[in-house]
Amino acid sequence: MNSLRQALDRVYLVGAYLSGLLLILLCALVIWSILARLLGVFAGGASDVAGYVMATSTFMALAYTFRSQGHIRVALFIQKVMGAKRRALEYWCLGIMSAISVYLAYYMVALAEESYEWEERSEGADAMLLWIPQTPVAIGSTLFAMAVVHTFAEAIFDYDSVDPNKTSGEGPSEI
Amino acid sequence: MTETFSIILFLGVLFVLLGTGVWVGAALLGTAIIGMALFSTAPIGDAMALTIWGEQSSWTLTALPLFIWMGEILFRTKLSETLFRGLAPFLQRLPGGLLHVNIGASAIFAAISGSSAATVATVGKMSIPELTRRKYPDRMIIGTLAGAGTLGLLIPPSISMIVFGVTVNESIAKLFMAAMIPGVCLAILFMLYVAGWSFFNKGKLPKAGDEPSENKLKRLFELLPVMLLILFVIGSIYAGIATATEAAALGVVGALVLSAAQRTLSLASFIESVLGSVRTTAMIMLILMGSGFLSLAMGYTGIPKALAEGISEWQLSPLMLIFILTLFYIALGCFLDGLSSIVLTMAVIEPMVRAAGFDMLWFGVYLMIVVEMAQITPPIGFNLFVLQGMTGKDMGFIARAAIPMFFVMCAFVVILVIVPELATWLPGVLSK
Repeated sequence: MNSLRQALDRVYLVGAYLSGLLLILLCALVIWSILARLLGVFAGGASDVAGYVMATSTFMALAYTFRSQGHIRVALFIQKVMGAKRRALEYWCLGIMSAISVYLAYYMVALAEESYEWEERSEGADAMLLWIPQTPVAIGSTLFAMAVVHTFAEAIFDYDSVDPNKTSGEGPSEI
Repeated sequence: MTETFSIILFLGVLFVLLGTGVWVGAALLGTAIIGMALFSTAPIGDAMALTIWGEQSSWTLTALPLFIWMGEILFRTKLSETLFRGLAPFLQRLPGGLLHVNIGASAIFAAISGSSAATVATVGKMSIPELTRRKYPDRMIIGTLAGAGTLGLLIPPSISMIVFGVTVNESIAKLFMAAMIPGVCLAILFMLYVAGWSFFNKGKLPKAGDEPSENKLKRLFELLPVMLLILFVIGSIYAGIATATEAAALGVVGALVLSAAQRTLSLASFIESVLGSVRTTAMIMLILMGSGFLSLAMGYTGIPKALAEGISEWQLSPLMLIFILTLFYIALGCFLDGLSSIVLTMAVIEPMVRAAGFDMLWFGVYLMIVVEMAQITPPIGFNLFVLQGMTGKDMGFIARAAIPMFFVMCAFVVILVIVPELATWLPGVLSK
């Protein structure tokens, strides 16, 4: 059980590192488009590709962010709830989150599949096949669903490890 | 099932999901799914995937992760020291002394960072211990910091402003132009308050002028890299040579250079900054996914249209509308964070505000201020949480210290309503 958790957490972390690499790539792409304009070279569909890179980067980090408690929730009404009641509340929240993240993953995968079948292309200058950027986004959303269901399972079998009354993660980094 | 019942059910789901602590992004997505099922015959899941894909891969939004990254890099530099040392000799002679450093440093850092929590943390890191050592009253140190920190989300670049711009489809560059003058004015208003306070409380302030002033020029020179970075990033947007995204990418490079020059750039700090950014970005994007799809569902419910028509039927004056909205946002801020307040309400309120004839640039500036006002009042106020972590004082004390700043901001909202040109003039001039 423990080794499975560690292995999965490593997978989420790899997702986060990939996401970071894509962030660096995004920055490089934008710089390239500026340079290309200054030099009078055609930059290709750099701005379209930048959007795809950002989408992939975002989705790859969703799972890691969820596991490190980086997503925001309204704490005002639940922060004072303790013990068994809190446990029930956590089940409710994680249950809904699991359902929604699986739903999201299912349809992001479906989107990529449809684009592949119909060979849809982007409307930008590059006319890229849309399934190419949509596939990593689908993988990222699947990873996210995995992380949520994983946490839900942990809550059921080993509540102490996720008990919000006892553990405190990094918390969301608000702006 | 009647229409009214459906609407009550739809809004009920939203409140229950948010209130019971379901993650905001998922709560919005869940409500939207139910809304689509109640009010439309469209294929829900496919509509959701398409909406999210379209929004998440848009060029406009790429400014967001890049500005976040720039802030993360700068947060790990020695800027807090530089700002304090550079500004102290010049501001100490003003009535209120070094308290002005809190405001001045916040305004400068706000011009390279898009986050108000980071502004408070960066400026406070140096100024809290320094001002406490010089025996400035705690209440004023904390109050000025909490207030001036809100400049982080007003003075461009601003993460909230990007989110607002993407949500209502307004140019981010123009929003950044609109927010500059109001940001500077609000900073001046904060300084006037400090000066006024010091006039009536002379006994509580330490004697000014103990800052060594022989190295003034050298210290000012240390501020040069920051000033260049501001010029680089905001200047390139204002001059029309770079889009917001391009300015952000240039800003990342500039921040890395500055960090390397200060010898705070290491492989470890670089990786930390990247991981921190993707984490914050993912948090914001999940909320945006939810709000994007919720806007679509809201459209089917007819709520925004009914509100917009209601406004014209009730014949509310724009002034009255702004007054009600201000109260509404402050109340909303009691349980929602600033970002969620913005995206959640814009799904409903945007048509109404447009129908009432407000300039959306002006409204964006207004919204930043009221949402931030809600964030320096308890029970939820992130600036207050940051200050609690930094000073160890209890929440009640910190909240009371921030109250005067809350009223200064109220006063500024009134000024902004009377003189809307503060926000609308610069975008008009620059985009010609």
